[in-house]
Amino acid sequence: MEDYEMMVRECYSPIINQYKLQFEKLDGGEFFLIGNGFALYIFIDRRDMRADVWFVSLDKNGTIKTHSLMDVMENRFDENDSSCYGNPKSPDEQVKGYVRFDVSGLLRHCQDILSGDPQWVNQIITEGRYSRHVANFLAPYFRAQGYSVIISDQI
Amino acid sequence: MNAYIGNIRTRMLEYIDAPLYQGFRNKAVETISTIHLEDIRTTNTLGVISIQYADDFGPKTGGFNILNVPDEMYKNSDQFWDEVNGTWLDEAIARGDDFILATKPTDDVLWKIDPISRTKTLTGFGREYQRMIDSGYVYDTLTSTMVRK
Repeated sequence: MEDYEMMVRECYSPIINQYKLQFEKLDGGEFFLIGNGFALYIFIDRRDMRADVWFVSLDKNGTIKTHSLMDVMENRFDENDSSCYGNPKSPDEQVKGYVRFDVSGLLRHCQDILSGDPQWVNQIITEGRYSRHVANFLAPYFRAQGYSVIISDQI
Repeated sequence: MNAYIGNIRTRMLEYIDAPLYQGFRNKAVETISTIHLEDIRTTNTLGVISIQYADDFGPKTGGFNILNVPDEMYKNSDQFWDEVNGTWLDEAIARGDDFILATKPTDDVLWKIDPISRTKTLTGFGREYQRMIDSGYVYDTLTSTMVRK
Protein backbone atom coordinates (compact mmCIF):
# COMPACT_ATOMS: atom_id res chain seq x y z
CA MET A 1 0.00 0.00 0.00
CA GLU A 2 1.02 3.55 -0.68
CA ASP A 3 2.98 5.26 2.07
CA TYR A 4 1.83 8.85 2.44
CA GLU A 5 4.37 9.88 5.06
CA MET A 6 6.47 12.17 2.90
CA MET A 7 3.48 13.96 1.43
CA VAL A 8 1.76 14.41 4.79
CA ARG A 9 4.94 15.51 6.53
CA GLU A 10 5.72 18.02 3.79
CA CYS A 11 2.22 19.48 3.60
CA TYR A 12 1.92 19.76 7.37
CA SER A 13 5.41 21.19 7.85
CA PRO A 14 4.15 24.80 8.28
CA ILE A 15 1.96 23.64 11.16
CA ILE A 16 4.64 21.39 12.61
CA ASN A 17 7.17 24.20 12.59
CA GLN A 18 4.93 27.03 13.74
CA TYR A 19 3.31 25.13 16.60
CA LYS A 20 6.31 22.96 17.52
CA LEU A 21 4.41 19.72 17.12
CA GLN A 22 6.08 16.32 17.02
CA PHE A 23 5.42 14.31 13.86
CA GLU A 24 4.99 10.59 14.46
CA LYS A 25 4.03 7.87 12.04
CA LEU A 26 1.81 4.96 13.00
CA ASP A 27 1.86 3.47 9.52
CA GLY A 28 1.75 4.60 5.91
CA GLY A 29 -1.71 6.07 6.32
CA GLU A 30 -1.90 7.26 9.92
CA PHE A 31 0.11 10.04 11.46
CA PHE A 32 0.10 12.18 14.58
CA LEU A 33 1.19 15.70 15.34
CA ILE A 34 1.75 15.60 19.05
CA GLY A 35 1.51 18.67 21.24
CA ASN A 36 1.47 19.07 25.00
CA GLY A 37 -1.42 16.88 26.18
CA PHE A 38 -3.16 16.87 22.84
CA ALA A 39 -2.55 15.72 19.28
CA LEU A 40 -3.80 15.93 15.75
CA TYR A 41 -4.63 12.59 14.17
CA ILE A 42 -4.15 12.64 10.40
CA PHE A 43 -5.31 9.63 8.46
CA ILE A 44 -5.79 8.52 4.90
CA ASP A 45 -9.15 6.96 4.15
CA ARG A 46 -8.00 4.60 1.41
CA ARG A 47 -11.51 3.56 0.62
CA ASP A 48 -12.65 7.07 -0.28
CA MET A 49 -9.14 8.17 -1.23
CA ARG A 50 -9.25 11.19 1.00
CA ALA A 51 -7.46 12.50 4.05
CA ASP A 52 -8.92 13.78 7.27
CA VAL A 53 -7.65 15.25 10.51
CA TRP A 54 -9.16 14.76 13.96
CA PHE A 55 -8.28 16.33 17.28
CA VAL A 56 -7.12 14.02 20.06
CA SER A 57 -7.77 15.11 23.62
CA LEU A 58 -6.52 13.85 26.96
CA ASP A 59 -8.93 14.57 29.81
CA LYS A 60 -8.10 15.00 33.48
CA ASN A 61 -8.96 11.35 34.13
CA GLY A 62 -6.34 10.23 31.63
CA THR A 63 -8.74 9.18 28.89
CA ILE A 64 -7.71 9.77 25.29
CA LYS A 65 -10.52 10.58 22.86
CA THR A 66 -10.71 11.45 19.19
CA HIS A 67 -12.84 14.34 17.96
CA SER A 68 -13.91 14.92 14.39
CA LEU A 69 -13.26 18.46 13.17
CA MET A 70 -16.14 18.39 10.69
CA ASP A 71 -18.10 21.14 12.41
CA VAL A 72 -14.98 23.28 12.66
CA MET A 73 -14.27 22.85 8.96
CA GLU A 74 -17.85 23.57 8.01
CA ASN A 75 -18.05 26.71 10.13
CA ARG A 76 -14.58 28.19 9.79
CA PHE A 77 -12.99 27.12 6.52
CA ASP A 78 -13.58 29.33 3.49
CA GLU A 79 -13.19 29.46 -0.27
CA ASN A 80 -9.49 30.19 -0.02
CA ASP A 81 -9.05 26.86 1.72
CA SER A 82 -11.18 25.14 -0.90
CA SER A 83 -8.94 26.54 -3.62
CA CYS A 84 -6.05 24.60 -2.09
CA TYR A 85 -7.83 21.37 -2.96
CA GLY A 86 -7.01 22.08 -6.59
CA ASN A 87 -8.24 19.92 -9.45
CA PRO A 88 -6.93 16.43 -8.72
CA LYS A 89 -6.53 14.06 -11.64
CA SER A 90 -5.75 10.87 -9.77
CA PRO A 91 -6.70 9.23 -6.46
CA ASP A 92 -3.34 10.15 -4.93
CA GLU A 93 -3.69 13.75 -6.06
CA GLN A 94 -7.13 13.71 -4.49
CA VAL A 95 -5.68 12.58 -1.18
CA LYS A 96 -3.12 15.36 -1.37
CA GLY A 97 -5.86 17.86 -2.19
CA TYR A 98 -7.69 16.94 0.99
CA VAL A 99 -4.48 17.34 2.98
CA ARG A 100 -3.81 20.77 1.49
CA PHE A 101 -7.39 21.82 2.24
CA ASP A 102 -7.03 20.70 5.85
CA VAL A 103 -3.66 22.38 6.33
CA SER A 104 -4.83 25.65 4.82
CA GLY A 105 -7.95 25.80 6.94
CA LEU A 106 -6.21 24.84 10.13
CA LEU A 107 -3.45 27.37 9.63
CA ARG A 108 -5.76 30.21 8.70
CA HIS A 109 -8.63 29.66 11.12
CA CYS A 110 -7.65 27.31 13.92
CA GLN A 111 -4.89 28.75 16.07
CA ASP A 112 -6.83 27.67 19.16
CA ILE A 113 -6.93 24.05 18.03
CA LEU A 114 -3.34 23.89 16.87
CA SER A 115 -2.14 25.31 20.15
CA GLY A 116 -4.36 23.04 22.24
CA ASP A 117 -6.04 26.09 23.77
CA PRO A 118 -7.66 24.86 27.02
CA GLN A 119 -10.71 26.99 26.41
CA TRP A 120 -11.35 25.24 23.10
CA VAL A 121 -10.50 21.83 24.49
CA ASN A 122 -12.98 22.33 27.34
CA GLN A 123 -15.73 22.83 24.80
CA ILE A 124 -15.23 19.40 23.27
CA ILE A 125 -13.75 17.35 26.08
CA THR A 126 -17.01 15.66 27.07
CA GLU A 127 -17.60 14.47 23.52
CA GLY A 128 -15.50 12.36 21.22
CA ARG A 129 -14.88 8.68 21.33
CA TYR A 130 -12.31 6.26 22.58
CA SER A 131 -10.11 4.55 20.03
CA ARG A 132 -7.94 1.85 21.42
CA HIS A 133 -5.26 1.90 18.79
CA VAL A 134 -4.97 5.68 18.95
CA ALA A 135 -4.76 5.53 22.75
CA ASN A 136 -2.21 2.74 22.62
CA PHE A 137 -0.04 4.70 20.25
CA LEU A 138 -0.20 8.05 22.03
CA ALA A 139 -0.05 6.85 25.63
CA PRO A 140 3.76 6.64 25.82
CA TYR A 141 4.16 10.15 24.41
CA PHE A 142 1.67 11.68 26.84
CA ARG A 143 3.18 9.76 29.75
CA ALA A 144 6.60 11.06 28.78
CA GLN A 145 5.11 14.55 29.09
CA GLY A 146 4.10 13.75 32.66
CA TYR A 147 0.43 12.92 32.12
CA SER A 148 -1.45 9.96 33.49
CA VAL A 149 -3.08 7.91 30.74
CA ILE A 150 -5.66 5.16 31.05
CA ILE A 151 -5.79 2.39 28.49
CA SER A 152 -9.01 0.43 28.68
CA ASP A 153 -10.76 -2.19 26.59
CA GLN A 154 -14.02 -1.45 28.26
CA ILE A 155 -14.56 2.22 27.45
CA MET B 1 -2.00 -13.35 -2.97
CA ASN B 2 -1.24 -15.22 0.24
CA ALA B 3 1.26 -12.57 1.24
CA TYR B 4 -1.31 -9.86 0.61
CA ILE B 5 -3.94 -11.61 2.72
CA GLY B 6 -1.39 -12.25 5.45
CA ASN B 7 -0.48 -8.60 5.47
CA ILE B 8 -4.11 -7.57 5.83
CA ARG B 9 -4.63 -10.02 8.67
CA THR B 10 -1.58 -8.68 10.45
CA ARG B 11 -2.73 -5.10 10.06
CA MET B 12 -6.21 -5.89 11.31
CA LEU B 13 -4.92 -7.61 14.38
CA GLU B 14 -2.75 -4.63 15.16
CA TYR B 15 -5.69 -2.25 15.18
CA ILE B 16 -8.38 -4.43 16.54
CA ASP B 17 -10.94 -3.00 18.90
CA ALA B 18 -11.32 -5.66 21.54
CA PRO B 19 -14.98 -5.42 22.57
CA LEU B 20 -16.25 -5.33 19.02
CA TYR B 21 -13.78 -7.93 17.89
CA GLN B 22 -15.00 -10.40 20.44
CA GLY B 23 -18.58 -9.80 19.38
CA PHE B 24 -17.75 -10.21 15.73
CA ARG B 25 -15.88 -13.41 16.26
CA ASN B 26 -18.69 -15.04 18.20
CA LYS B 27 -21.42 -13.89 15.92
CA ALA B 28 -19.67 -14.30 12.64
CA VAL B 29 -18.45 -17.81 13.07
CA GLU B 30 -21.82 -19.05 14.17
CA THR B 31 -24.50 -17.28 12.24
CA ILE B 32 -23.50 -14.53 9.93
CA SER B 33 -23.30 -15.14 6.23
CA THR B 34 -21.91 -11.80 5.22
CA ILE B 35 -19.31 -9.58 6.71
CA HIS B 36 -18.48 -6.25 5.25
CA LEU B 37 -14.97 -5.26 6.05
CA GLU B 38 -15.38 -1.51 6.22
CA ASP B 39 -12.00 -0.36 7.10
CA ILE B 40 -8.98 -2.26 8.27
CA ARG B 41 -7.36 1.00 9.27
CA THR B 42 -9.53 2.35 12.00
CA THR B 43 -10.60 1.41 15.43
CA ASN B 44 -13.16 -1.30 15.01
CA THR B 45 -12.13 -4.31 13.06
CA LEU B 46 -13.22 -7.88 12.98
CA GLY B 47 -11.50 -11.22 12.87
CA VAL B 48 -11.62 -12.22 9.26
CA ILE B 49 -10.92 -15.78 8.23
CA SER B 50 -11.24 -15.48 4.48
CA ILE B 51 -11.04 -12.77 1.86
CA GLN B 52 -12.50 -12.75 -1.60
CA TYR B 53 -11.77 -10.49 -4.50
CA ALA B 54 -14.15 -8.65 -6.74
CA ASP B 55 -14.94 -11.59 -8.99
CA ASP B 56 -16.15 -13.70 -6.08
CA PHE B 57 -18.88 -11.76 -4.33
CA GLY B 58 -21.61 -14.37 -4.41
CA PRO B 59 -23.43 -15.86 -1.44
CA LYS B 60 -21.31 -17.61 1.18
CA THR B 61 -23.57 -19.83 3.18
CA GLY B 62 -22.21 -20.00 6.67
CA GLY B 63 -19.19 -17.95 5.66
CA PHE B 64 -18.06 -14.44 4.91
CA ASN B 65 -18.43 -12.20 1.93
CA ILE B 66 -16.08 -9.27 2.15
CA LEU B 67 -15.74 -6.41 -0.25
CA ASN B 68 -12.02 -6.09 -0.64
CA VAL B 69 -10.70 -5.02 -4.00
CA PRO B 70 -7.34 -3.86 -5.32
CA ASP B 71 -6.70 -0.11 -5.17
CA GLU B 72 -6.56 -0.03 -8.97
CA MET B 73 -10.31 -0.49 -9.14
CA TYR B 74 -10.82 2.92 -7.58
CA LYS B 75 -10.92 5.89 -9.94
CA ASN B 76 -13.26 8.18 -8.04
CA SER B 77 -15.94 7.76 -5.40
CA ASP B 78 -18.92 7.84 -7.76
CA GLN B 79 -17.34 5.37 -10.19
CA PHE B 80 -16.37 3.03 -7.37
CA TRP B 81 -19.85 3.18 -5.90
CA ASP B 82 -21.56 2.57 -9.24
CA GLU B 83 -19.26 -0.18 -10.50
CA VAL B 84 -18.18 -2.01 -7.37
CA ASN B 85 -19.47 -1.01 -3.98
CA GLY B 86 -23.11 -0.27 -4.74
CA THR B 87 -23.46 -3.39 -6.87
CA TRP B 88 -21.95 -5.57 -4.18
CA LEU B 89 -24.26 -4.08 -1.59
CA ASP B 90 -27.41 -4.33 -3.69
CA GLU B 91 -26.76 -8.00 -4.42
CA ALA B 92 -26.25 -8.73 -0.75
CA ILE B 93 -29.40 -6.82 0.18
CA ALA B 94 -31.35 -8.75 -2.45
CA ARG B 95 -30.16 -12.00 -0.87
CA GLY B 96 -31.31 -10.75 2.52
CA ASP B 97 -27.84 -10.98 4.04
CA ASP B 98 -27.07 -9.49 7.39
CA PHE B 99 -24.14 -7.09 7.55
CA ILE B 100 -21.65 -6.95 10.34
CA LEU B 101 -20.17 -3.49 10.47
CA ALA B 102 -16.49 -3.34 11.27
CA THR B 103 -16.92 0.33 12.10
CA LYS B 104 -19.60 1.76 14.34
CA PRO B 105 -21.91 3.95 12.25
CA THR B 106 -21.25 7.21 14.04
CA ASP B 107 -21.45 10.63 12.44
CA ASP B 108 -17.70 11.06 12.30
CA VAL B 109 -17.31 8.11 9.93
CA LEU B 110 -20.59 8.42 8.04
CA TRP B 111 -19.93 12.00 7.01
CA LYS B 112 -17.02 14.00 5.69
CA ILE B 113 -16.48 17.59 4.67
CA ASP B 114 -16.42 18.10 0.93
CA PRO B 115 -13.42 20.34 0.29
CA ILE B 116 -15.15 22.29 -2.46
CA SER B 117 -18.60 22.94 -0.99
CA ARG B 118 -17.34 22.78 2.63
CA THR B 119 -20.53 20.98 3.60
CA LYS B 120 -21.07 17.55 5.06
CA THR B 121 -21.41 14.75 2.52
CA LEU B 122 -21.69 11.02 3.00
CA THR B 123 -18.53 8.95 3.02
CA GLY B 124 -18.48 5.64 1.17
CA PHE B 125 -19.42 3.96 4.41
CA GLY B 126 -22.16 6.53 4.90
CA ARG B 127 -23.59 5.75 1.50
CA GLU B 128 -23.69 2.08 2.34
CA TYR B 129 -25.30 2.71 5.68
CA GLN B 130 -27.91 4.95 4.11
CA ARG B 131 -28.64 2.36 1.41
CA MET B 132 -29.17 -0.30 4.04
CA ILE B 133 -31.43 1.96 6.09
CA ASP B 134 -33.41 2.80 2.97
CA SER B 135 -33.72 -0.92 2.26
CA GLY B 136 -35.31 -1.66 5.59
CA TYR B 137 -32.30 -2.53 7.73
CA VAL B 138 -31.70 -1.36 11.27
CA TYR B 139 -28.52 -1.27 13.31
CA ASP B 140 -28.28 -3.71 16.20
CA THR B 141 -25.87 -2.11 18.63
CA LEU B 142 -25.28 -5.30 20.60
CA THR B 143 -23.96 -7.25 17.64
CA SER B 144 -22.89 -4.29 15.49
CA THR B 145 -24.97 -5.85 12.75
CA MET B 146 -27.36 -4.41 10.20
CA VAL B 147 -30.43 -6.63 10.19
CA ARG B 148 -33.76 -6.46 8.44
CA LYS B 149 -36.61 -5.04 10.50
